[in-house]
Amino acid sequence: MSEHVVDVGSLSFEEALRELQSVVAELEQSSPSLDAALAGFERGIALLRVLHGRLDEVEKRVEVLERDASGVLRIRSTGGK
Amino acid sequence: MPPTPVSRGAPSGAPPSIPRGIGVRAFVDRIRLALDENFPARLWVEGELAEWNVHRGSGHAYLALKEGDARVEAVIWSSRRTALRFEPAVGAQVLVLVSKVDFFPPQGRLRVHVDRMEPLGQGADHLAREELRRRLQAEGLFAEERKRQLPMLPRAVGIATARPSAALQDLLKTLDARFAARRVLLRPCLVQGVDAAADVAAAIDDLNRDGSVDVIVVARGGGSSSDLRAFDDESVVRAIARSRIPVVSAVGHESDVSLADLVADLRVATPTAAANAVMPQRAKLDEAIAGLAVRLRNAATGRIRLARREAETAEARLGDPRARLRDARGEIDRLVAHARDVVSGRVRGLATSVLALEARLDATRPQVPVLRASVDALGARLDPALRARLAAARADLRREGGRLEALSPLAVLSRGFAVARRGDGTVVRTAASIAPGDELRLLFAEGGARASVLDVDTSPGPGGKALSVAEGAGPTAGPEPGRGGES
Repeated sequence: MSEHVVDVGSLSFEEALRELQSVVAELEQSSPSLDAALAGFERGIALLRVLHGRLDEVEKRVEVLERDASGVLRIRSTGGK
Repeated sequence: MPPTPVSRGAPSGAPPSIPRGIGVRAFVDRIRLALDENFPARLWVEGELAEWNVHRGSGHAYLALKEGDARVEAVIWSSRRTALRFEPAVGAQVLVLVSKVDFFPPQGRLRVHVDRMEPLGQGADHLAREELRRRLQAEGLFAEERKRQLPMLPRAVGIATARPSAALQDLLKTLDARFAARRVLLRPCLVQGVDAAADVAAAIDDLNRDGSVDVIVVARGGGSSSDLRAFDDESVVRAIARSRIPVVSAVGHESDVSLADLVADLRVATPTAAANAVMPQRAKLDEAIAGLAVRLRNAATGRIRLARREAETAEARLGDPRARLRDARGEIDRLVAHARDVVSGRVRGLATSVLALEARLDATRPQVPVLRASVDALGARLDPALRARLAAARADLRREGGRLEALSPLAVLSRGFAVARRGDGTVVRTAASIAPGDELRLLFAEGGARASVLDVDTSPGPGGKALSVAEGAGPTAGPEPGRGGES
């Protein structure tokens, strides 16, 4: 359980979504012990937090990747277009 | 014309000398021999395609080639025709491989057999491209197993295309419509002209070097579809093949497939389709997550409700300490009444002492153990039959008490109790299993805390553990001990 809490942050959106789906299905289909049910619920909440985080983590912006005079790659942001 | 050279009449005297001819068959044989001698091997012929007719029934194609006022007719058998790699158009310059020049006796006509035909002009390019395609295919670059899945939700989308271009506009517009709050990293590049291939390949490499995007769209399109050569170039194919980031090609043409299309992880027809393929719709994701959240909550509350029902069943049969006390008192009343019946006046003193005990119980509201001891004391003085009943009642008490303790902490979480867990997640069920200094996690109805054990009290009954919340949020109360007050 504690190691879950640690590694949940590194999950990608689809990993978190897939795991949440299986956690929910597990809770719905089997009749887990209370301990397991509570652990599943906690895990599910953590996964939901990850999903919302992943949805909102990036703000809208359009950037341009280009090379400067010495050939070094750099990123320049644009006014949105 | 009459078949025999007989004279139609003999107006003058001397018979004319009639030249003798060779037979038609012999003549045809000589023609065929001459053709064989002059066209012993296969031969490439180029010219303008002047006629092109595919016979509906047989599938053979009858064609004519011309150059100036020279013209020759030929045939491509059905099996060869279907292997052609382009759609022949009348007026186009073509290169044909003549496999045989023959004379067809039944029709008295020359017949030229053609095995292959290539468009001329692009012919050399076309052959080179085919050769490259075969080589890359043999290397396995176009294999289905190499195709990677696109990420469900890319953090950022890389774009390699011309700027400004209609393709770029379509991409940005569609990405924005599907999921506004996303990052786009554009690596502008040429898509037409002699430098295009090198630039497209460099763009893919640069986006990989930067490494901040989860998917790359290589786009062209919007303009004329004539110059796709950059996307057939080996350098572009290899750049896509070595990209660690999945690549979607949206080169934007209908008729032919570029080699970039073949090697890309996904090929789509237009930039808009590419945007649809790489970016999910925000609204759909929100909906899916909200649905899962509801199901998670329902499943968890359902399970907790079930536990609560179980606990309440147990509680109903046992009650809280006060109810237990009442029940025990009722039992005592019953026993006392029995005692009265059984021993009548003989043990009036005993009954009196029981009543005195009851009065004391009323006054002090003792805890169950005290009561239990009293019941024991009383039972010892009652007759054996009654003692047996008492023992059974005590066993019931213990059994139900055990069930209650197992279930109630979680069931009554929402009433202010807390679940205490060890570091490994197991639930603490007895004080004896923990020791001062142990670190516990407390789970409340809302939130939790980390706590460390100051002292341990292993005496029976609830509410004996002395805990101190070391850190964390939420209420600092541990399990609420049976507060005797309100009733």
